[in-house]
Amino acid sequence: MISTGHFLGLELIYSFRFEELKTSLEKINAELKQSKTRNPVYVELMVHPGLIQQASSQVQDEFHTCSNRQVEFEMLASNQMKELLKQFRLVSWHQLSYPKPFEEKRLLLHSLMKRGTGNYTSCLRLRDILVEMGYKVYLRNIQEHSSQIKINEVGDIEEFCRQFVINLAIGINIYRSGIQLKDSFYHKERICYQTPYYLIIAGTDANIYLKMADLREPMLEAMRLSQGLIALNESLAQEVRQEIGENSSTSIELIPQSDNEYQPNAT
Amino acid sequence: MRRELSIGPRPYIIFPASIRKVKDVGFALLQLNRIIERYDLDVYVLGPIIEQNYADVLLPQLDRVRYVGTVSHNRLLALLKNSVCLINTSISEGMSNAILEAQINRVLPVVRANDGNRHLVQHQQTGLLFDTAEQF
Repeated sequence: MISTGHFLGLELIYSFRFEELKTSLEKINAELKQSKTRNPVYVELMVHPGLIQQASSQVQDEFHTCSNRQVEFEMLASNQMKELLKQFRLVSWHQLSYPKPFEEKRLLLHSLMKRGTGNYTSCLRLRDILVEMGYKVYLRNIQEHSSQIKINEVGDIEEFCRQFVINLAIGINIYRSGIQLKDSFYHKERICYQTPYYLIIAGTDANIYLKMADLREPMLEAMRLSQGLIALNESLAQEVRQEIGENSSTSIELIPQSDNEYQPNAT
Repeated sequence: MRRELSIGPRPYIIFPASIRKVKDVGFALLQLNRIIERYDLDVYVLGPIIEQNYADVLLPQLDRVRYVGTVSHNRLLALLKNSVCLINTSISEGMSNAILEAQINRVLPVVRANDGNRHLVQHQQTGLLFDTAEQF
């Protein structure tokens, strides 16, 4: 059964008090920000708008003749209410991202997969490991030919995850993948199917792109909205730590890959 | 495979790098051409073109260093195993698969001393590091 974290509005039917509703919503918002969680909190707002029934109307019960329903109707349609709702996203029940009734772990691996590149090799290796761990892995290539394709891709990723009921996404490269995943699952101007995602720090993202003024903010936001970051060595982790700040709630998992015991045949 | 990729019979150095600025393939070009001449070997650059503008400038300058293009990972490994050494001149690296593969296959990595490469290579112990083209 699906339920929301909060429920408001039951008592507003006989006396719609805008300030009370505003205070309650803002309190929930403040608690959410303080908790630093990346998961959304859903609030069900019960409303009862209506027009006052004429005396000739067939239904004459207390609810249908309650004059406050018209007050509530006008208040819900007011500019004041529209302003308040700008702080929130309106979603319908079927858009809530709750655990799905699938036992299978479905994972999206999002990377630039141009043959012959390191990202491509890393992506295929990671896929093999994840498949061995029991995940059903879907690979998705990053499109980056033009901004229009990027915009379409963002919509496609979200639609893909919704359709295939993806539980988790992993993006390789904060710049190339991270920004697209962020825009796919946490778009500012539309309601999204929110798939949690992790990002693997690739190299150029931390060493070069994160230092570029126009890319820095979207990359930071992509990191903040992620479930966590994965660094393959300490210097990459350090580069990112410096940028996001020591107090950030974004965790960085360090998974070193090098083999310091290696000795070549000849030096 | 060697015939298909026009890999000659001489000993060779492998230089896996996609063609883009950050890989800085032209970094030690002068030195590489000298090595080719002096030691009678070949240098092969393997990787896709990512930045066409950069490729348009770089590829005509390669001189005796030969750009092979994109090869499959299996082919790259086969070529790597028989190479004299592996070169990496990247300005920055995260965790280079090519260097890891060279080490696993006991091929000497000769790599530019960026942060990522320093994590993989200890100079004169697990490979060779260089900072400047002259050191190379």
